[in-house]
Formats: sequence, structure tokens, C-alpha cells
Amino acid sequence: MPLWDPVFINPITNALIILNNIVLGNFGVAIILFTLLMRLLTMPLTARQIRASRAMSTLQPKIQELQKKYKDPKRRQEETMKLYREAGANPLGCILPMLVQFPIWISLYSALRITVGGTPESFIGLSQRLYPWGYIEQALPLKTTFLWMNLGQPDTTLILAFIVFASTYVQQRLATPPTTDPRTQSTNQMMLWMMPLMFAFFTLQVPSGLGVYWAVSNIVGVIMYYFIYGPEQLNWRTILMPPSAAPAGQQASRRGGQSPKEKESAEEPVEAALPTGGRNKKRSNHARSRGKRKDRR
Amino acid sequence: MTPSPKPIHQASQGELSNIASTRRNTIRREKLLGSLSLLLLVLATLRLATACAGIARPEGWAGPTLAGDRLVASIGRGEMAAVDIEDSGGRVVWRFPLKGQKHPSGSKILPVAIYSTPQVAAETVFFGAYDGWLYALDLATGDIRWQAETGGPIVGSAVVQDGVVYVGSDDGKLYAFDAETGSLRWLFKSGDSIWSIPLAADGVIYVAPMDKKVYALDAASGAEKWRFQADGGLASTPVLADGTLLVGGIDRRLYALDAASGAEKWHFKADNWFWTRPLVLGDSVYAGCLDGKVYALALNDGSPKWEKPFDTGAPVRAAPLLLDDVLLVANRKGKLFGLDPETGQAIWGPTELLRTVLADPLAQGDMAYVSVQGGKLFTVNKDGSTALLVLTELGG
Repeated sequence: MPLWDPVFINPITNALIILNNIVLGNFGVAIILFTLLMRLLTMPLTARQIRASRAMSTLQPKIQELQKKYKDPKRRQEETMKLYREAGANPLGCILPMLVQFPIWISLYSALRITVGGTPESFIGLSQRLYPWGYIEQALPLKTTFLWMNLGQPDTTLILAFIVFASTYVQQRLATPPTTDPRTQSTNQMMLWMMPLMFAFFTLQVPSGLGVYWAVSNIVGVIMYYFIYGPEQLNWRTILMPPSAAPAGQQASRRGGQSPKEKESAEEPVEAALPTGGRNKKRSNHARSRGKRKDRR
Repeated sequence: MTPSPKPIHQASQGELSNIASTRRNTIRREKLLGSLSLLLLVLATLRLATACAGIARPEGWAGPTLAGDRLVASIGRGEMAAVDIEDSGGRVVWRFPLKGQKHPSGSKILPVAIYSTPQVAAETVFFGAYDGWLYALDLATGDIRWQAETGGPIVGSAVVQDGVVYVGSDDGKLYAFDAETGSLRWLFKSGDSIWSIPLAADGVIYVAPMDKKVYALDAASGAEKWRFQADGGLASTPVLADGTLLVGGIDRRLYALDAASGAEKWHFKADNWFWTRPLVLGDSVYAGCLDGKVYALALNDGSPKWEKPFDTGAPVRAAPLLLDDVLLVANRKGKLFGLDPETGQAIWGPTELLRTVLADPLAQGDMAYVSVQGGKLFTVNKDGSTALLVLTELGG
């Protein structure tokens, strides 16, 4: 793609080097700063994705009812779409923001590979991507050591791989919407472990600069969930327990979804039913006692 | 009489159990298939992403060297070889490393990228490798005479003069080894990686590291004589002509310095980095640039000699070369051009090798050897005709 490089990869590559100069030549700190900036820029999209995912999860009981009620797949599909329309939810709402962020992620991976490649060949490649500004050229060659890592080489100590695994797991756990469908549950359960394992494996294969990006990006993601869902979600029980097959209402409540009062108003558009921080606080006691009752059982 | 209604079939307990069991199995099978599909998808993504985002692998760009009728060149990734040149090809006399060859520490010598063009002196081949080792091999047999380790990958070639081998390393140090024994005579520490080839002339060693400085050192002791501060890192090999030291940098400048004092005479700014060794012919300097152009400048003041620089269309890393009266230029995409050195007009070209060319070519009369990435060698005549050098193993 002729436009991909000048529109995405080259600006990101140059931005990384400018940040490196700003933080006095520490490329590791430049990557962290860049990750924070990117997360900040894409925050509206991420927040929208989280909310859309949550809106979908609140509709789960009704969808299940429709599945029971209509055996004809075509009719079932029509009714499901009607439900989405009435509730103001959009199934693509979860995917579209993620798709929009993909080019940024892919470009960042490429930019990091180019800037910290470390080989003479990759250095020649870098020469073709830099803007003709003395401020940028003065930074070269970049110092690629950061903490115990060479950012241009994979981290063989397994420390970074573990951090990436743990942070991906926590973020994945918080991002997985509750469901009552056994097949979806099984898929979610598999993805919950597969994704962290996959990224940990990547970290052992790619320049550790990418691993630093993943780890920081995940940690920022978890913090965002904290502010969107509220503090109840970030307890060890929620993070470590596998997503259960509890009834949807209960699940939604456990995940900071709907309280019974909100369930009653589920007929209203979902956006309107989304809890605010205050609602979360009110709901938390109810959800906690319900969780305790479940434990006792 | 009305016909009696057909009795409804009552399923037995066993039948119900069978139906339930079949249903459970179907669900289990569907779940398993779903999980397997997901696993396959994840594995495919994993493979694709690893291929896309893997670490950059050093390939090496060592050029060839002639020693009598023997061509010493890197003919594969991490392999150095001596080739007896024949009419239509070459017969490989030896290869290095051989299986089982070891470092003094006992670890195996593995084939790694070689950027260092081999230098031959006193029947010995000297070259550095990306594993940080400098090797001295017997020219006749390829046996190791000695090997010495530096603190980082070696990218620039070694230079041999007056029984001393000088080589720079990525650890920022310039090493001076005894050519006979490999013992360290002295070392000089610069501020950053040394990727360029040091220049030895008149008892002085000139070295251009990435720390944005050019150093002149005493060849006997390594003591600093002078230093010049550039605006960017330096990766090109210095060249000395009529008391003028020419060196290019990644600040897009080609510097001309007074070799005695280090004072700047002039500099020429291009659109990208200078990483090639400039060629000096009479009062003209020919320098390839990573902006894809070849510049002809006056040695005394750096003014352009051609109406406009010659644009090859891709970065030029390989040094320009004179074949009789034709200036041979090769760009990274493997396009070769024969230029008129006076006017900068193309006499022929492009001739395409269809392989990446980063190594400096080697002239032999009106023919040149060009080494391409991947280790193959081509011969190029002054009329632009090329041929692949077909290699056969000794006894093959």
C-alpha cells in the first residue's frame, strides 16, 4: 500500500524519535510516553467500545429468551435485530472502535521494529523514513538499552513476558462481557487464557520495545476499566475467578452491569440504562450480598 | 365405525436416554470443533504476527577481495570462502567456519552475518564478524591462525598496516591487534558504535564513529592527535586525498577536513545520509548517497561538477568504482549504471541484478565483482554485461 508508510508508519517513527529527544535520549521512556499518548488519543474510541460491549451484555437475557421462543433462525435473527434497534444497541459498536485502532497498532509495531531494529540494514531502512530535520537526525543512533533490556532484541529473562501475560489476562478478564450462552462461555474461557499466552509468546519473539508497549498499553487499559466500571470490578475475586455460568442478570450485576431496578427498565434504550458512577456505587452492595449468597450456596 | 386413532408412540426410558446422550455428544462435538477452530485461528495469527513483527535479522554486506588468483568473499550468510577464479566460474578452495571449529572458550563458531570486507596481508585473511570476533585465517587453507574478541558486533572492515590490524567495534572501541599473534597492542574508546572502516595513512589512524566525531590517532600508541565535531553520527569510511580527509555522515553532509589539523575545509549537504566511501579521481570526488543520487564535487571546495547529480532511484550504499573510463554505480535495488565521470550522463544502464546490493564492488581491470545480499557474486564488464559467478566445490 503506497499510502500506508507516509500516512501511518513514518509519522509514528518520527514521533518516537522526537519523544526520545524530549526524554533526553531514553528510548524506553519514549515508548512508554508514546503509548500513553496513543491511549489518550484513542480513549473516546476505547470508552465507546467498552460501553457498547456492556450494552450488549445487558441484552443477553432477552436474547436468550428470543432464542428459546423462536426456532426459525431467520425469524430469530429478525427479532434479535429488532431488539437491538429498540434498545439502541449496535453489535458493531464493539468491533468498529477496535477496527479503527488496528492501523495505529500495526503501524506502531512496524515503527518500533524500524527504530530499534539495531542492524545496519534496518538502519539504512530508517534513513528512508525520517523527516529531514536536524533535530531528529541528532538522536541517531538511538540508545536501545532500557532497564535490563535491549529494546531491539527479545527479552530472554522472561520478566517482560510474564508482565505482558499478567496484564493481558487482567485486561482480557475485565473486557470479557458476561454471557449465558454455553458456547460463548467456552470461547470466552479459552480466549481468556489464549490471548495472554499468545502475547507472552510474542514477547519472547519480537523486540522487547514491543513488549514494553503491550505491557504499558494493558496497564492503561485496566486503569480505564477502573474509571469506567468503578472500583468494585478491580477486586481479586473478579479478576481471578473464571467467568461463571450464572444467570445473565446476576452476571451483569457482578460485572457492574444492571441492578434489578435497571433490569426493570431494560425496555428503555440501553444507552439510557447504562449505569453512572453513582449507580455503580448503589449497586455494589446489592451485588456483593448476592455474590455472598451464591458463595454460601 | 370410525377408525381407531393411531396410538402415540411412547418413548421408553432407554430411548429417551439415547436421545439425551446423542444430544450431549452433538453439543460436545460442536464445542470441540469450535474450540479447535479458534485454536487454529489463534495459531495462524500467531505465526503471521511473528513473521511480521519479528526482530530484524542481520544479513551482512561484505565485499570481495582479490589475493593473486584467489578471490576471498562471503558467499553465504556467515560464511567466508576462498575461490580460485576460472574463466567461467570459481572453485571454492575453503569455507569458514567449518563444523566443529571453536572459539578459545570452547564454544562453537557459528555462521553469523559478515559486513567486514576481508583484508589480505602476509598470506593471512583478516575479517570481523557480527558475533564480535576478529578472525585471522590462513589464505591457503582457511585454518584459523588466531582469533580475538571485541565487545560488540563488528560491522566495519579491518585494516592492516605495518604488522598491525585495526578494527572498530559496536562497543565503541577501536582495537589495534598484532597481525602475527593477535595480541592487543592498544585500544581507543570513542563515544558510540564504530561501524566505519578505519583509515591508516602516514602513521595516523582516522576513525569516524557514530558519536558524531572524527578522530585522528597515533598509529603506534592510539593517542589522540585531533578530533572534529560533526552534526550527526558517522558511518562512512574516511578517504584521504591531497591532505584532505573526506567523510560522510548521517547528518546528510559530506565533510572535507584538513588531515593535519582536523579543521573543516568545506561540507556538502545532500537529501539523505552519506554511507558510502567516496571515490577521488584527480580533483573530483564521487559520492553515493542514501537519497539515491551520486554526486560529483570538486575536491578543493565541494562545488558540484555535474549539471545535476545522477539519480539512480534507490539508496546508494555501495561505493562507486572506476572501470577503465566508466564510473560504475550500484543502488540498493541491484540496478547498475555506467556513467561518464566528466558529465554524469549514463553510458549504459540500468542493468538489473534483481538482488539487493549494499557491498562495495571490487575492480579487476575493466571488470568488477559485485557481491549481492544472499552471498552470490556477479561479474560486471565495463559495457554493462553481467554474469553470475558459478561456484563449484573443490573436488566437485
